[in-house]
Amino acid sequence: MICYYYYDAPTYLFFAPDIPELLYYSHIPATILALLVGIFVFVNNPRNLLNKILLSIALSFSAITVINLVTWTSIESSAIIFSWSLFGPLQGIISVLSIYFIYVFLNKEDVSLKIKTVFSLLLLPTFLFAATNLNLSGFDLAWCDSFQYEGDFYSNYYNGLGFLAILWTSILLARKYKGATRELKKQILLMGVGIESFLLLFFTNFALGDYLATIKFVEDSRLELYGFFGMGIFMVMIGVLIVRFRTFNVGMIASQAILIALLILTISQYTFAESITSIVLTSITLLFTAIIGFILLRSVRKEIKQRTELEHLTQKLAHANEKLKELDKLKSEFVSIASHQLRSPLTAIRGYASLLTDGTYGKLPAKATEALERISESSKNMAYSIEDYLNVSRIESGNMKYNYSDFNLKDEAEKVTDDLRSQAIKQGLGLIFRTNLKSRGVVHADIGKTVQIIQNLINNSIKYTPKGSIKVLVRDDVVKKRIFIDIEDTGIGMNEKTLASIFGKFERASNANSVNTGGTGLGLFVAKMMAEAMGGGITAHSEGDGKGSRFTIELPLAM
Amino acid sequence: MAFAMNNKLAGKILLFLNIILLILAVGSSYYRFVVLEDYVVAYEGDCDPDFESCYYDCEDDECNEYYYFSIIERQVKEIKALCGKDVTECDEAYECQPDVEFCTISFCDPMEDGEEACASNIDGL
Repeated sequence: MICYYYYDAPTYLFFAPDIPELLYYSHIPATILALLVGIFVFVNNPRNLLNKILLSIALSFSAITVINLVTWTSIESSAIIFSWSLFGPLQGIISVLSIYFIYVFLNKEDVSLKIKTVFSLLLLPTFLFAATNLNLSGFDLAWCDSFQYEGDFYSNYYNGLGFLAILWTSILLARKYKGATRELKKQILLMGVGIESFLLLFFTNFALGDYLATIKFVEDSRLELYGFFGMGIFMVMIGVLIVRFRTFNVGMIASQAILIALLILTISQYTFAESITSIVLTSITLLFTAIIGFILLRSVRKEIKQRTELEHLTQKLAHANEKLKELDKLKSEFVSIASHQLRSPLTAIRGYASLLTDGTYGKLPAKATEALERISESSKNMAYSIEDYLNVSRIESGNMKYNYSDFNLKDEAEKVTDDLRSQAIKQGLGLIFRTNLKSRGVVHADIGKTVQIIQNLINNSIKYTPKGSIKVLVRDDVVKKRIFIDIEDTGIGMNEKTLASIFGKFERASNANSVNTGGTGLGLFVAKMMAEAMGGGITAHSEGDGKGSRFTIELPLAM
Repeated sequence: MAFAMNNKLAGKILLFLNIILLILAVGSSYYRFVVLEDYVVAYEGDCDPDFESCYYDCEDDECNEYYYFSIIERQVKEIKALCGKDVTECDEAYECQPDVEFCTISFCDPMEDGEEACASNIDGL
């Protein structure tokens, strides 16, 4: 049947006379914008759930604008009442999708099955009763609408769903906002402004327009036309989130494309803007879009430049790192091979020197024995150096093995001190051992390596102390479950610069050569690495050059 | 793992059911309102305020003159069969034939519609 309120039939379905000037301005740009953003975001990352939901909202919104245009422009009762009957299901879908969208946006994951079931149950009545008299029962040919034949329960229900969505999304956003980081707060705020503007404008204007037209307070429901502008705000906020925060994982080029398309779309509105109102509104929109677009594009360009520079630097760094790793590996391999090849002949030299000194091959003259003792001493020092090189090589290649067991550290430290005492006395030094323990002093570590560390440090003290004494103190802290060995000497000491670098590879004290010309500068490095690998450490302390040093070995107590 | 899989499957089934229900809702609406044309249409009928209580409205934008009308409601199928798509050029549309299943002609009721909505000269108004 044909309405007789509007006399002229529409052409091309939509374009009819006697309709509000605002109609096309409110519907077409908002729909194209929603579809443009929805499709762009989806195409850029189709597997992302958030992008899928955004596209679904855009499609549902577009469907509503199309059926709304039909109800405004058609004069065919069947087309209008059929379109009218779909407002309920579509508004229900938009409400539920908006809540779903905010859930996924905030939590970065899908909602539970329980919530999905609640969503489905909320939607169910809108689907079940869409074609029944509870929704629509008739049509007014004079007014060309169905306001008088809308079922109150059904229309209140789907309008209520809209208000439920406003409340639900507001609560979700507010709750997340409380505990969010500064960056996330900005994103939540932008999304909140976008979604709430859309839902509030859309559902309030639709419900109010519908109600006022039903009670015949106004001639028609043209108030609902303002509801469509909310989608524009929502999409602009989505655009800002894409460009500023890359929320939807949309690439930079896509962001620029969206902005350019937005400008073209706004300019194209001039082609169908016939009235002064439309031209003014289009100009305001164009100005607004251009300003926002300019700001966003500038931000995009800056970000692209920064990203390119960063990617270039990262590539260079990765390349340099690879090269360094390769060189380090080669160096370790070289040291390992060279050390092994040096160690074998050295063992033979030391062995034969010892046999000669012991008189296995007959009695030697005193001068020859002295020379052999020097050979033996030098080869022993060389063997220590080679062991240091090998240890560094093992540590750096991760091949250093530790055999853990429980042992008494106090006993081991005392044994080492006793062994080295004769050497200290030979140099005119006193070597004192003391304890201050509240526990039994048992540790869980590699006994061989622990002894090696203690030996290394006491040896160092003997080497670098021209006169005075060396004190070895074993103490513990049962509360912190740590045990300490302090090796304190009255030797050459260290200045601040030396202290800062003493544990580095090939580092020796600046004044070390004045006392001892030997030494690789690897002993402390190896000792520290071993102690740290066993859960402990080594620290050094000195008041300055000539004021003695104190080295502290720290290990965890075995419980 | 199996629970998560079941949840995912159940979620997909729910989505599928919702899509099916939406298609059914659109399909049944189309069938009822476009194919069967099973709904009521209302239009303005004749009314003489000298004899009946009429609804009235302005004849033109300035509202210098009024026109008076009753409201006729009938099934769209029947009126279409009788008059085609346009009721304005069809005399049969303005009276209820005896064999018609559903047809009502309503006049303005001051009690229900409000006195200001009705125009009548019967009691000298």
